[in-house]
Amino acid sequence: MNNIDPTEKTLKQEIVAHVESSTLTENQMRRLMALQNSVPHGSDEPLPPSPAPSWLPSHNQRVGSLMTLAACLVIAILTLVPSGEPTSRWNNNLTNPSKTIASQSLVKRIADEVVKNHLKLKPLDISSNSIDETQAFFKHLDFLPIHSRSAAQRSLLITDNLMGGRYCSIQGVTAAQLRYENDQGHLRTLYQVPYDADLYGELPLAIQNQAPLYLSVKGLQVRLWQEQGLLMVLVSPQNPVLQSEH
Amino acid sequence: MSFNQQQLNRLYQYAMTLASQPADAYDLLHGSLESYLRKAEKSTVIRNPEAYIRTLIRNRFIDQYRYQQRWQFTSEDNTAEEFPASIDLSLDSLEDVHIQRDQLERIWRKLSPQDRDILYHWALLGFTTQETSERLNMPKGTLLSRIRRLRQRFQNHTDQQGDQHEQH
Repeated sequence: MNNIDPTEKTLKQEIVAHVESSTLTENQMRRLMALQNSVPHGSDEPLPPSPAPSWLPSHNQRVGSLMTLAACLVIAILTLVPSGEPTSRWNNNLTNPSKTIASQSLVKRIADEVVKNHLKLKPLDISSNSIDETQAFFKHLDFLPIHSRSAAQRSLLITDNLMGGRYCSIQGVTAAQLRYENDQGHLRTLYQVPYDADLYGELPLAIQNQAPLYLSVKGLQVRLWQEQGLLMVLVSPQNPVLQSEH
Repeated sequence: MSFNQQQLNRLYQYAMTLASQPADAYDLLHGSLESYLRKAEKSTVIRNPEAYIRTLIRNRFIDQYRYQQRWQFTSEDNTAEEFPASIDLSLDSLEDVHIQRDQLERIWRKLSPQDRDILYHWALLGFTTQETSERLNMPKGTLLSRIRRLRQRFQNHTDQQGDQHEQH
């Protein structure tokens, strides 16, 4: 005889209850609603000329996010500098002591974020080996993604092997990612976002031939530098040939 | 078309069904919504936007799993002929299964995304076996095989609980 526990419900009822117990947070909901509200659907109306991408958080949220990051940066500096603890071996080549050096914790957060993104390998929004086509695609950005001459000169990238790109964000700021594939089929992702010295602190300058900051995260190499007014973050697989650079 | 909060939550719940992790589920939904809005911007007619976004969410999720080599497509392509026609292996066979909330939550966490996907379409969307097979692009034999194992799994758990009650 099959006795049913009165506390039991049908499998279907419990699955419905379990699934429906997950809901978006208020912040997530606000972001998704803002994303929808700022894109004109089914019309020929052009997207707003605002430099802020229409499908990302509102201006206030972005400002709030930047303020939070700036606060983290200040705290990190106050914590690290008076103790005499070196912020990192890769800050040795930064030339202007009057500028704020890059926060180690912020750099680590950025590195963790881009590596996570890189490993997800989300589908490209545009597939093209033409930088012109790829640049034209990113019409919602307030900057122009570029081929990194610095990365090419350092043999970190072969620009001919561009696969395309997709929108993304770095620490809540809208970014572009360009994906490259080398001859062995290994993927590299170059993230680009407008460089903000107040936000990111001082980073190596490509134009001064400074070596990128370097971190190793989850078995991948992460390099950061600034080039043509952009923060560049490159994620690439471990490569013994490239290790000697450091 | 814009989605209201209820619809967005429903889509998030589907993403959670597949991804399990809130952050991953949100990424899936956000990315899929972006794609949809770009498509809608081009005046492309999309008959059922909610279903369309569910498909985008699922495809994005599979792309990630395919990369991680965790999504199995062919290993369980059993044919329906392996099972006698007299045995009811359709999703209807799950209708009489009873379970407690905590038991379900324990099992749910251990289920594969594919199995959770099947159960979602059955329980939340009310799909039949045939509709689920078509919507998930899953061979019917594979689906029936999974349903049989799911039923056994829930049934075994219920039986074990029953035995424990009797011992006490």
